[in-house]
Amino acid sequence: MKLDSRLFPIRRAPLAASLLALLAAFACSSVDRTPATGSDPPSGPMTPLEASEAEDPPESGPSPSSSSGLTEDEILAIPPEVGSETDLLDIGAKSLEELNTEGHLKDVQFEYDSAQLSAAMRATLEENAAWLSRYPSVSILVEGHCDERGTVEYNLALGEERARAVRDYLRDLGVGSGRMRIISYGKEFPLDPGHNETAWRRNRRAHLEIVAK
Amino acid sequence: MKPPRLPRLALGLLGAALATGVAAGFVPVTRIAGFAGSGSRAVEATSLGASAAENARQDAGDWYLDITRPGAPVRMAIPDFRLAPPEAAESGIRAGETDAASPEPLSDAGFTPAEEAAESASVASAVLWSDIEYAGVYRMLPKRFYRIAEAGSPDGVLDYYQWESIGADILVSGTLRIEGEMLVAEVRMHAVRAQENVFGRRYTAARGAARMLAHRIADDILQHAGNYQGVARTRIAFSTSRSGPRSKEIYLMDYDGHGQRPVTANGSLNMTPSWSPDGRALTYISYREGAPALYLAFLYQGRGEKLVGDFQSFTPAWSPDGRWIAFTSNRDGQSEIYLAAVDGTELRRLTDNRAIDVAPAWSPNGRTIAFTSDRTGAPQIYTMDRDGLNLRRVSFEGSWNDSPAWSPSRQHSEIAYASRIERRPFDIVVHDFETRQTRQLTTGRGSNESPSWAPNGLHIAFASNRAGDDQVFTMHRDGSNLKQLTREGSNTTPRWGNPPGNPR
Repeated sequence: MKLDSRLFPIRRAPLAASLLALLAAFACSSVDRTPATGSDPPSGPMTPLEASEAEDPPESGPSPSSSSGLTEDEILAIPPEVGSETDLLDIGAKSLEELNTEGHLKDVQFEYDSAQLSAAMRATLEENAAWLSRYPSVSILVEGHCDERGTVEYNLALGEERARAVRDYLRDLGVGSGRMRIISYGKEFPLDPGHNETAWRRNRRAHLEIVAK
Repeated sequence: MKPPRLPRLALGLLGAALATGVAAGFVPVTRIAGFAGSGSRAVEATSLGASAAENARQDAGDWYLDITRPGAPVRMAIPDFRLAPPEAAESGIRAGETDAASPEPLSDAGFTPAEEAAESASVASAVLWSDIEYAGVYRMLPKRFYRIAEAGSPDGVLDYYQWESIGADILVSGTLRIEGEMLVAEVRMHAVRAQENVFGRRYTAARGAARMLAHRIADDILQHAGNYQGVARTRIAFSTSRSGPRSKEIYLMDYDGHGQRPVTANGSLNMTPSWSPDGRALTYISYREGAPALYLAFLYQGRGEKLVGDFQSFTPAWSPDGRWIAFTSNRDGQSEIYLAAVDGTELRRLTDNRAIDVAPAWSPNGRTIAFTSDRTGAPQIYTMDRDGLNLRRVSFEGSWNDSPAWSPSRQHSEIAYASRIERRPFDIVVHDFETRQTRQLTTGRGSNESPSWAPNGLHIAFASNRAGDDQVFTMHRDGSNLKQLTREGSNTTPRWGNPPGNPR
């Protein structure tokens, strides 16, 4: 719970999620606090919010969506404690593909035949959790991958175990279970096609893919 | 002679589709590319025995020639099929009820009937030869010797002394002709020194199904020459990347690599197929809806369905009695082995620990399941009863052992699996339960994975990257007679299945 309160100043997570989404939306489109990219015209009123509603997967919990009776003033009155608001991306204006290629969420690399999280991996996951707490509308797919040296069959289960370890730690850090799904790809999709230690290290990974925003 | 019992046209079309490897078109989502027809009955056989007693023995089906000669391999001569004119069959055998007066139309490929017959005879001769040779139980007498024996035997007269003079113990001779929509082959096997015609059968198959015809003949010859269960009509399912990037589809091929054809065409990952014991259906995992789930493909109905979904499921294995699927799932939070009935009901968990438990494989009697577990820290092979009790560890050597496959043989009680010995890539090893010895079948050429036994327990298919990408190979159970079956894309998780309609 300690971690929870650090990352989630507002306790009721689903409500907090929608409030923060609104906050992000208003911060961008109304208050215009983002470092403006100049040429971009205001991308239509409320597109970010609409997008986030539309793309929310149904399993992401009973989120009482935006129209929770709060006025615009009341929403703006919520102190923006999380991060500095200038860091907030206009995630609604970016495609999922852009968000994923920009690398906001970092992979973690595992040891050979291991699903253990080292201190360094935990640190990376804490950064990921902090980013996710800033964008509560984001849902992710945690992919477990293995290097080519293991067998096809066992690697399917090992990749699953890696994805599960990452999901469980993110959940301990306060990322709602409803925002995360896991999948194992075994050794089917290596990041690095090489056949050496460097490639194997890169391929023994959990990758966090943004699947909704 | 009895006329063929099946409707010729229908049989012809179905058989042709099967035997030439032409699968029906690609179909979306949960449907699968279907194979019309009934493969096991695509070739029909009737006895041509030399006597009524011979016919009765052959029809009883449990008869075989005992021609063993201590210390010497049995030598077999198989001359090419001779072309028989449509109306005149081999001497002493009446032709079937063909309408010889009707003009023969050209085949689809534009061959004249004579050309088509010659081509069919050529294909059938080559396939029969390689099927018998593959079994590895006969010394095949080279064809160049046959001219000597044939020169001494005027047309149509079999001179046993001539064949004995070139060293033949068994002679298999046959004729082939086109009759209406069918190929008709008449095959006789002779015990040369006994000067006896010990086997005679007429086979009918669809035009264009010469390979299937020869496979059926080969299995019969092997059965009756030495009570050997041939694999000529068996197929191997596997997972291939050939159809597109970031996808793998389930494909089938004949045991010799011929006729590679798709079962799935959904553009996602489809892997680890497992055959139903009757050779008519497959279960496999597919990522088509995101998370890997278990699917069934009924090959001859062109139908597929999802068996178990909602959670990640891996490595299904169909039980020998056809009623159960063992698989791995994370539905209770960690990788455990489960059983489900083939209709998806009666789900039960067999393992319960924090380690990975994966890759179940049934014993031939269906009472025991082998699987991989890392409960001692590294993946090793274990067995348990089918209720999850009576756990035993099988593998003690190697730092990573996976993908157990239990031999279906009645003579040998053994398990094949992939084993990492020291820090090398994987090799295929076999653990013999009787001698408690483990023998290594591949030796350090590439990484060798996912062994699967032929239905007779005498050959093993596996995937190896010794030639670059992963490819499917077969070898004898002693590691000899290596053959590469696939060459296109990356091909993994081969599973060797029974011929369709197998009663087991």
